[in-house]
Amino acid sequence: MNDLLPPDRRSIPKRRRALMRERLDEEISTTTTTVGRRREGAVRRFGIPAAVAAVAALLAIGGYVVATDDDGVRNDPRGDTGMAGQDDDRSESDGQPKPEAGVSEPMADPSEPYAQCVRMVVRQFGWRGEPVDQEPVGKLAIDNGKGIVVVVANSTDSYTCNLEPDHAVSRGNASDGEFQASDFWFALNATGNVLRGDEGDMVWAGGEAPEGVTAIRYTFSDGHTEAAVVQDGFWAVQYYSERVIPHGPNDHVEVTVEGTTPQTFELPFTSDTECNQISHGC
Amino acid sequence: MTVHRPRTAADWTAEIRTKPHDTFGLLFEQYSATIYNYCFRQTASWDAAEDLTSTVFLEAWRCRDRLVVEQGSVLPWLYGIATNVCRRQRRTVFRGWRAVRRLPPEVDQPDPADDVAGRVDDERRMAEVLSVIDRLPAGERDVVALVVWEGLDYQSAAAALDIPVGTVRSRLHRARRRLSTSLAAPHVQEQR
Repeated sequence: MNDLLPPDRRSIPKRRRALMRERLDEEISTTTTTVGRRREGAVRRFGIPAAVAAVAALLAIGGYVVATDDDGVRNDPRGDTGMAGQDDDRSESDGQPKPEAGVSEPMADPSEPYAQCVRMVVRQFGWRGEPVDQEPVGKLAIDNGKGIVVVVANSTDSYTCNLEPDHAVSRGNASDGEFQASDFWFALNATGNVLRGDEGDMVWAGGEAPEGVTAIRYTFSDGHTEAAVVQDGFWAVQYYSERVIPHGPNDHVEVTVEGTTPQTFELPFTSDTECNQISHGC
Repeated sequence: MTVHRPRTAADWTAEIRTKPHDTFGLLFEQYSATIYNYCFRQTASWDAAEDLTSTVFLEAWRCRDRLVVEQGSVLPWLYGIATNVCRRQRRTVFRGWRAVRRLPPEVDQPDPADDVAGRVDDERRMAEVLSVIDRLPAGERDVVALVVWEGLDYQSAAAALDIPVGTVRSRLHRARRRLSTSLAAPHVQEQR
């Protein structure tokens, strides 16, 4: 090799370029719409000046204040937009019980997350040439202050969406009465401030639960145990770590299922199997 | 009399706030091909470069309130995002661009840019280049990619990597020394 120079530049194939642009426009539309709605909702509910609400929100979410960088930039995997409105929603002043930072709870008003997830399912699987014939309906939406995970389902399939910090969909088969290990494959997103390279990890999964299941717990390779939210035959889990969750040939995730048929599953957690874990079987 | 001045970060931020689609669309139209080729040079894969380019602009949108203008251009800022996106691509996978990757193959008119054989040759050659460059520490590799391959001046490279200009200079010097011990080093112009 005579030199270390790369090949000549190429242009992006037109169709791919158009899809990238479309994806960007969709992200911009989704973010701006969501922030506007959240802010409107916060103002309506609080009935107090926005500045006061913001101060109250800051006091209420001490966890986020702690998670501030040296230069004051918050370690916010969603960037600066999505969280602003949500912080407002988390103020103590609305009188609603608030999720402890990092603990997933069902969302009080999941209508918009359901609608977003359904749109993503129809669109993304349509792109893949696997049209969704029967529009799914919302089943479960959880929020842990760092991420939002939504489960929707139709009569044949369940779909799990990660609305924050990413926009991603996975598909799982509708429950056939018993769990298999593949039902618990999960998605791993890198999150955080990409400009600073100080990302954390966000893991999420969800699906339909067989009858009699009362609890599902994930124990990750860093030792953390995260309980899934189980509700009306569906479940969802998400775990945010400010540090990289170890994943390699010797790292595993243990899933414990409680209920009429207690079970334990050990899942691989390696970069090699990430694709399968992400997509529930891509 | 109209005075033309380079747009500042505040100008960009204000425009993004009022016209997000138009402004970010402009950024995409102007710089997507540049970022695409940069991502290819980081991965030796045109497919991955497509995915990563999409991710870079999504990340840029999410980080838009921290937009940085260097010498009147946002390109160094985009290079900085691309550098981190490509780096973490080795560790994890972004669902957003996976979805793009899984799109059905193109069935419409053949795109002149979609020269399959040429792309395969490119990937083979780039993989050879990377096999050597990858021996460098990550910081030196980033500097080589930005200064030598992308043609950024030291100040822009420093802005992209958020390091002092002197560090760019010293990393490049060390990289050249390391490379010259075993292979012919790339032709690097001295201070731009």
